[in-house]
Amino acid sequence: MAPNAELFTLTYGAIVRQLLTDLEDVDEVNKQLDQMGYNIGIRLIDEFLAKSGVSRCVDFKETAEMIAKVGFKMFLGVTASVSSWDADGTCCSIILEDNPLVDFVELPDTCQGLYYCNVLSGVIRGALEMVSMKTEVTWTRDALRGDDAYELQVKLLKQVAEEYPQSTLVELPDTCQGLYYCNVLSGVIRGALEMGSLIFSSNFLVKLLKQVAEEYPYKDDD
Amino acid sequence: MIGVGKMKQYSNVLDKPLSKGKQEVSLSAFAFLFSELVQYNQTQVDNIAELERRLEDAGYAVGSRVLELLCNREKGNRRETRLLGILSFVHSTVWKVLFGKVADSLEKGTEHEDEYMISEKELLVNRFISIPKDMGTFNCGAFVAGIVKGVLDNAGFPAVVTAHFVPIEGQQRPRTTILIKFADEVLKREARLSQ
Repeated sequence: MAPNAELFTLTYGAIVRQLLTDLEDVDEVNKQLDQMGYNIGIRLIDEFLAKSGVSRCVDFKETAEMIAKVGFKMFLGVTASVSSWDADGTCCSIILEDNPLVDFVELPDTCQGLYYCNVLSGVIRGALEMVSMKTEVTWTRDALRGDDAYELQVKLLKQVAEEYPQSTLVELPDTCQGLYYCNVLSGVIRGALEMGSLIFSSNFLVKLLKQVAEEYPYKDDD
Repeated sequence: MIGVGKMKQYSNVLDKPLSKGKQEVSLSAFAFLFSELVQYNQTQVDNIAELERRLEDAGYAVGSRVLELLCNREKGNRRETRLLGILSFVHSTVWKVLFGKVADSLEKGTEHEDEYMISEKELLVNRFISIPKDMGTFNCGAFVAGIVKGVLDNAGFPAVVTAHFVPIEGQQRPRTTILIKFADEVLKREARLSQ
């Protein structure tokens, strides 16, 4: 049962209102919204990868298209478009015509510096960081401030290659052939899952475990 | 600088046509957002009662707006004046719009005249949340209780609304019940109107 977009919109409005009452400073609220978005993004990426089943994106262009077409559609039910690529393909704009977060919303004069949808920039930044891309996400157009659409500028700062640090500097001597050098990882996963009753959503952890076991070159114990 | 060039075209939000309310977002989008709400509030309070109150306040704001929206869109601006009328409005229309289904049951309390209960087997907000043992009787359904309170208060039926877990035999997860206790004036008015 998919909840109505209005429940989502009104809940988000309640969050922004609470933040404004508690923090009172518009810049602080922007930062807090971005941080919340970041926390959501780092978990959202797991669900996105699990549900969409897409393979690795070849380059940043494909990544941006994925976010705009598949990601936004999957979670918010709207499609965004990508445009304004720069020369090296590291910076682009994602444009949202429809934005379910801002139905019924009007910014009062006292909050003119507020980026109401700042949670979205945090979500994108968090999600991309979990797939090894450090980005900077800023708003270039905001309809609540008088523009005609919502436009996010996503800039790729750095692509961090994935490495398994233990495997590059270690060589097992003949006397230790039975040693599972990375056994600490299997314990970590097992311990984390045991504490699963306190973790927010447990079904994706199980899937992640399967993926880790398949990709990792060393044989894992239990 | 954003928004500088086009200030004149900003139309009043009240002039825009009201959406039909058919758009949906994914369950996980809402679950993530709700979890952030709870986590943020956890950092702001010291005890459970405060946390429940803050969630209830957030829900109250949602509830009052939902009432306005629904009265306008679904019922053509008719106002409920009877107790059972407003209760069935909450139980069917409000639940259907917000959660996609009507609530599981609506019961009258047996011990007190002014108590009513709306029950739900698996409340949407509680679906992905597990309460650690040291938080005792805390229930994130306080958010939904706040929504109900917002609707009732703004419709002219002041009440105290709380959310409780009711363990059911044979089922692992307890049922969630929203307990509504109406203020005296509501019952007096209802008695007067029934004559």
